[in-house]
Amino acid sequence: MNETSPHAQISPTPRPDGEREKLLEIWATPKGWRLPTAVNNTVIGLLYLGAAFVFFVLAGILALVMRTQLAVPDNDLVSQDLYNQLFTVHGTTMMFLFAVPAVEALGVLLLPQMLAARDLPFPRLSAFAVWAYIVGGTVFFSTIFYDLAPRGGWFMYPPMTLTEYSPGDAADFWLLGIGFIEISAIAGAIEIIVGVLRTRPPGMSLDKLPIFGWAMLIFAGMIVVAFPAVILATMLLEIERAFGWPFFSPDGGGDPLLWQHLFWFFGHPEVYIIFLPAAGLVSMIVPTIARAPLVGHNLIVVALIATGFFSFGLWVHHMFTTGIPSLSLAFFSAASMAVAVPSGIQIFSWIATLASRTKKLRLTTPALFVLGMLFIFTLGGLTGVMVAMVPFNWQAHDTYFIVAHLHYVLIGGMVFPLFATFYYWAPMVSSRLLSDTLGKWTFWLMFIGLNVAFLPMHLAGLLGMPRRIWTYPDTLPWDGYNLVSTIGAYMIAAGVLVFIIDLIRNFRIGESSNPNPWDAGTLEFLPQDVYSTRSIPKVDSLYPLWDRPELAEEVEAGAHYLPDAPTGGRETIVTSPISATPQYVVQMPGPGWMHFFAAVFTAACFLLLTVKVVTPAIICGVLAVVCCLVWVWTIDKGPDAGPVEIGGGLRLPVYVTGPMAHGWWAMIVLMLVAGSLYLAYVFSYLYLWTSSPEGWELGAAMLPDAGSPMLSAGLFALAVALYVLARWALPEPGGNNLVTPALVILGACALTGGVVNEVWSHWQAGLRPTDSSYGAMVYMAGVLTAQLVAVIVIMSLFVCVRQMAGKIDQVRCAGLENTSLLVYYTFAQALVGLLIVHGIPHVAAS
Amino acid sequence: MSQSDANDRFVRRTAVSLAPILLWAAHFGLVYGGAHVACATADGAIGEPLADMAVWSVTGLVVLVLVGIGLRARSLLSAGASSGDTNSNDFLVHVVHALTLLSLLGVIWAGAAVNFMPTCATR
Repeated sequence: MNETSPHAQISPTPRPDGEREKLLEIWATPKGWRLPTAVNNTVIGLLYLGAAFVFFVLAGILALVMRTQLAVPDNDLVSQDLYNQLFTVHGTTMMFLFAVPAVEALGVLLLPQMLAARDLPFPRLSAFAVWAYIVGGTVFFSTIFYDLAPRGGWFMYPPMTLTEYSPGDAADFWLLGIGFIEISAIAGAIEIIVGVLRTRPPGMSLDKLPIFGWAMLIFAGMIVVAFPAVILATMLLEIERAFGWPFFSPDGGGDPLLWQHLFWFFGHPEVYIIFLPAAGLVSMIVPTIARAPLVGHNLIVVALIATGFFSFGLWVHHMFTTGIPSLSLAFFSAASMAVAVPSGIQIFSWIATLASRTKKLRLTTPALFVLGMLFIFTLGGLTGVMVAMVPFNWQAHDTYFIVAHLHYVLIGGMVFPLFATFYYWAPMVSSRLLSDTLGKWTFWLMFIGLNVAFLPMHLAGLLGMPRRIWTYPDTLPWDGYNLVSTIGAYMIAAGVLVFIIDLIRNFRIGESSNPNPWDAGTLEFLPQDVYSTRSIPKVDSLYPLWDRPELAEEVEAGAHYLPDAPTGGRETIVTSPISATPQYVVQMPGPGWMHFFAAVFTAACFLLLTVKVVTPAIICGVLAVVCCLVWVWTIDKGPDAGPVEIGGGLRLPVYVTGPMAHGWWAMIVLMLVAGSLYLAYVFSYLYLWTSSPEGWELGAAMLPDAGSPMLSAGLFALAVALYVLARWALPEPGGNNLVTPALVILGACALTGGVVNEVWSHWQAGLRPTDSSYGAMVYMAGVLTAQLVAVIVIMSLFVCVRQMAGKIDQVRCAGLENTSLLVYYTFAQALVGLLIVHGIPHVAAS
Repeated sequence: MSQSDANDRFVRRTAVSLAPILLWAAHFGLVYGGAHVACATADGAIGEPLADMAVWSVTGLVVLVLVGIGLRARSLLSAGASSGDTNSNDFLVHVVHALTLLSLLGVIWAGAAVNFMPTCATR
């Protein structure tokens, strides 16, 4: 195209010769043995999604073994012990290794395309998360082959998972493996939050953000709040198993119900963490099916936000039978029913959109999966309202009714939208469409199979069949239902098999000759290449490809923003978080090995710790840190390449610091993660206090005198002051001095001193973490602050080295700024800790 | 232009937009946590009426604040917005109004339970 409309002429066309070739060269994907160095979102997203799908298939095979075992009464196909491992690994794999990674993968794969960004802002972080997940997940899954898999079910309740009842390493594989994979999920969440808020195209203000962007933003926010609770829970249980700190053992004043609170504070939102992105996908597909804008777009956004929040008020509905007071149960019952309202808003909006169409509905494969999802998820939602009612819950708890309910919700709410996604978005990454005929076979086998498999489970459950039983006698009236369920399970498997055949036959990575076969209205259907879109469009509506049919041609001609690579490297535009006003051009890293090695060594460290091989684990941990430091050494490229012209007369800087910088935002999100973890600790502390107050009453007598916490608080405050001074003392660009490194080192020492003094004072007072839950919680406060201080020490040393290399000064100071942010947060957390640890026992004693 | 203005006063506008649902969360935490602590630590004769009254008071207060936020949403959000950002602002006002309604539902639903359920009894 040689001419564009004046409205679109942001960059002059035709573009200079060689510009596209330069983009292709800069964004080229490494091939062959160098593939692990790749960081492009399409490569990483596909890798992520492929790995998640493999885990889905593997966990599905375990389900088939279980269904075969249960098909007839008194079956002995597998032993009881193996059956326990099967359901634990099946549930854990589906929830942790398939569902969350799959939706996170879709975020990495689809978001940059939907936002017409060249990539997400931290591509190596995504790559690190993927490789960590692949290595960690593979090792965890393989435990089933070596009789090393845990037996405690996917929620691993103590006391059954305490050392006394689960000796050996099996439970540790779950605790350390899953804890590690959650860290990978959090890394992905940080990437997604900053990506959605800061790398939207110019003009795409929040009211024009596609629903999937909203869903992923809320999904990631929920991960930030929910996952730290289970990370803390796994830390506490692992510490109790390894060192005997009694958090969950009633003998030492612990309480096994604390695990349930922490686990389900993560576990119930987890259902919505999985569902919301899938709902976002449906909200993107439905308008295309109906050829009409989504009815109630703003209400859907509200419904997503409300569901995200309400889902955190539901955790106790998994604990209705644990003896909690009736009034408290009523609070959770109310929230459990209230969450149905925003879910209903979404369902009715989709139905209204489909009803508003002016043409006949084309029942393509994506359309079938969306309609199937509406049916199945609604049924699961209805049984969800049933189990939200306390009296019914008491009857149905831990029966097959619950198994049926959760599979309707999860398969309807996540798996069907995922398959719709496979078929709908395949043209974005594949040169060929998947087969509509095979797709329909896949759909009908899965749809019928799901209902055949899980509908009878409601009845078996109501007839009293408990979950997780290995077999049952033929005197009980469950055999017919179980046989039918098993047949249904094989039908689902057949559907998945047909899909795999379709993939093998038709999925070919590459550019499609028709990037928009569905005539969709959103940006991911613009012509794409390794660099994403040729230029970054200015957006002024929710469905830009419908409202401006010429947009695809303009973008491909390079007529919009950033049609070239002005810094000579990988870059994209960073915009303001609400109105999407262009702010600066971020320079992004390209391929490299360090994120890959960091992931491998981190996984190795966790897994070696699991089998108690401590020294190699420490070596791997150190190597992982070294790899991370090498990786981040090249990220801060400084301001030298800018400012640059991006089109439309806009000249933007290529380096900013402070609240405008995307790195600053990532640090803030990381602090929110740390804050969530610490809040979960505060909850645990208060819970155990109310559960066994005698420990706290005795603890008041063992507290160090007031001078000790005052000294710690003083040292923490001194550290903050030193880091503030370090920022002021930075040299001018080109200069160098030793004042900043000295202040930073002194600050890190002050922080370390504060933690050591606090822990040492309790030790001197005679308190031991193994004595009681009180002692364990006191020392745990120290552990949580000490881990932050350890990170700060590493970051501070890094800052010192960078300054001595001339890479930090008054302008180029992101490294010091981010370290200081963490110092300020640590100061606040440590003060709260001191107040709680030294204050609550006095309250208890009085 | 300050960094805050350049960032569309993100913190302020996000806080206002999410205020209704954050209030729901605060209410939920307070009534659940308060009832739990009252039942676990205080004598039943004192703890139960204390918890009931606390639930009632907190619910009433939160409902009033929610109504206030719903009524003043536009002015609260406009204070942080630039004049050229009316689309975003209108959108956020819609969000606040709808979230206020949903939060009112959640708060009243949870708070009303104190009328029907014994506070500390387990069955």
